[in-house]
Amino acid sequence: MTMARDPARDRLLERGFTPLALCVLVVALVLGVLAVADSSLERLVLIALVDMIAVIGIYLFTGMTGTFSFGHLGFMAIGAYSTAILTVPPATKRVLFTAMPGWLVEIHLPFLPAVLVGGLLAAIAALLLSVPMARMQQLSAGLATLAVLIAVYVVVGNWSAVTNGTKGITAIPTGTTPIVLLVAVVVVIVAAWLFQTSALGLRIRATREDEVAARAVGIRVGRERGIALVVSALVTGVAGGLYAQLQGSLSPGAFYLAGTFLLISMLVVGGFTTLTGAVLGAVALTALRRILEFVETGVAIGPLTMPHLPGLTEIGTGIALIVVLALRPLGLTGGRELSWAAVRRVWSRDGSSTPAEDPDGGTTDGRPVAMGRVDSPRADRSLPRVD
Amino acid sequence: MTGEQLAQLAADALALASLYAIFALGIALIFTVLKMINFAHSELVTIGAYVLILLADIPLLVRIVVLLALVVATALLMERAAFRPVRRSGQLTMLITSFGVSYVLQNVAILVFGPNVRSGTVWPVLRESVQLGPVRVPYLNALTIVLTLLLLAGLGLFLRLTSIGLQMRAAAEDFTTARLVGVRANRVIAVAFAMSGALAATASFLLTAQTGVVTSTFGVQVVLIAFVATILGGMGSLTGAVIGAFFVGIVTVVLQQFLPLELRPFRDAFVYAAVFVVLVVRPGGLLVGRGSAVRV
Repeated sequence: MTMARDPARDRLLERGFTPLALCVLVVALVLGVLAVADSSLERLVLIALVDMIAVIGIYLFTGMTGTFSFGHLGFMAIGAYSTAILTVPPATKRVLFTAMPGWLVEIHLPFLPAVLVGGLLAAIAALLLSVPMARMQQLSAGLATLAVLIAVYVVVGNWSAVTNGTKGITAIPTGTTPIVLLVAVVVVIVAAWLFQTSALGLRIRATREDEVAARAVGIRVGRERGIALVVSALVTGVAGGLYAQLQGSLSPGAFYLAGTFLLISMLVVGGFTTLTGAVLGAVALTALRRILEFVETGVAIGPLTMPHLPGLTEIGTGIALIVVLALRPLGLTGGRELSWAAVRRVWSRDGSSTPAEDPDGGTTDGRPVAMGRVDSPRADRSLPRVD
Repeated sequence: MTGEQLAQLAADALALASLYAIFALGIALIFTVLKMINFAHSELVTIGAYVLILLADIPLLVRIVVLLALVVATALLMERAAFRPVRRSGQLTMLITSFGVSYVLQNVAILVFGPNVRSGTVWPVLRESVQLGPVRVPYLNALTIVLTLLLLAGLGLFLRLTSIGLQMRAAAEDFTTARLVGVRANRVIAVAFAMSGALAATASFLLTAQTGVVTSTFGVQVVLIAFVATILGGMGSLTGAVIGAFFVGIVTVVLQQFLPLELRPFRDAFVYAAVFVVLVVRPGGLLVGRGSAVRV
């Protein structure tokens, strides 16, 4: 099918297509699955939505600046614990936290403000952190975020008066419904898109493409990356708050290396340089892990009976990550957004072309593009201009 | 605080700093040659620890031979199977690949050895201690310090006196040019991995001799400390990594001694905060390494 070209319509579609398409895809997928889901599958979908928000949060820093962060689960923990403490009723808190300061016991907020406060506290932590990180070289900065993860983990695990230490917090009022989470995901996708296509967002992404060139045209690399970190921590902190509301209980172990690994895998498998990658990565890995969890418990396929294999899900996730990195370093999306131009191209070739074979994408010589040296992904050329 | 207590504190700090130096060297060695941060170093340490703990009935000398052989072989296998395919794809790809390898091996360990803590005795004598004047030194600490000195001296001589050592230094300087003048990349990188394997084996020996237990995440703490020490020292310099390790080790012991009792559980958070303060003042690390500047 060949569509007539109308430049004005194309421009409008290019601007709004990606977030719209992603939102429609996610909403349709979630509603479709929920329509047939039992309670355990419904729970999986809700957790996947929270993961998706957190992955988008990490993307807003890692994807846009090219600096890897292992510390975002720390921000998520800050958001989750703040929300939990703010929403547990004072009467329950008096029983649960005997050593909590009085003013903190008395504070009680409804669901939405509590989640936002959690996000803001995470953003404030990121603001403090952005000062030293702005001066550090990219790889060191990425590793230094590990220190954040550990520091938050140690504090959360030991500050018994406020976090209840390793015993964790229980009896958090559960305020999230599928609709609340879907609205949150849609808001976050649209906001992330507006952020990344704004003049500021383009400057931040320029620092990813070529730090030296970005500096040469007057971009203050450290400052812009710091802004990305704060915005990203805000979103990740909100994801933490939603997580607390969804689970109803928290423990420090939920925000440590295993969680970090899962969210980073989602982002990298989807494609860490694009919003589409963040969204699709969360979907893809959730589906893969659901299948692996099923196999892990030991299933019979015809005459073959698989033994019980604890840890298969984690091993499979790790292998998926390694294979994607070796074969397609920019992830399943190959460093491109789901754009109107890409959809039209595929249509005009009667669906015979996949993005991977697209001569306009990737590098000119057909090699996979190296991470950290991304050669102008196709999506960036279809963005609205800064002027 | 008396002079005797101070001497005791210095001895303890020296032992911990030496241990951390062994951790950091394993990471820094790979980084200088390959510009890769190897998360999976932690699993080399974990595998070594499982060998030492689970084979507790076998004579110690045999166990050490098995330990070295197995850990070095795993390091070489890791390089060949996972890291070589992504070597050209840039630092970030290598970093995340090693993160993935680390996670896979951790879970393989759970699959093979179970999720529970396994315990055993490695070398009971090391838990006894000797009184040197006012200072009480556990044999293990003495061994740690001696081993670190030997390894540092050996590594220094190796890099300066042997042909492959010279090639490694050339590769660390500029890999492309080194290859142009005949340095074989695969050989140099394999030697670097074998050496980091040996360092990981040493680390697992010293750690299990102290704790006598192993879990699937045994080595994680090792690489976390090593990362922090390596960044702190200025990435891309072995001397820097050792200096960074000494900083982290000394700060840890001093905080353990002087922090008020109620704050002591937060010791590690303070250690990492101290590291951040240093990095604010010196973003390139204590010793700015060769790999840290962007060259255009």
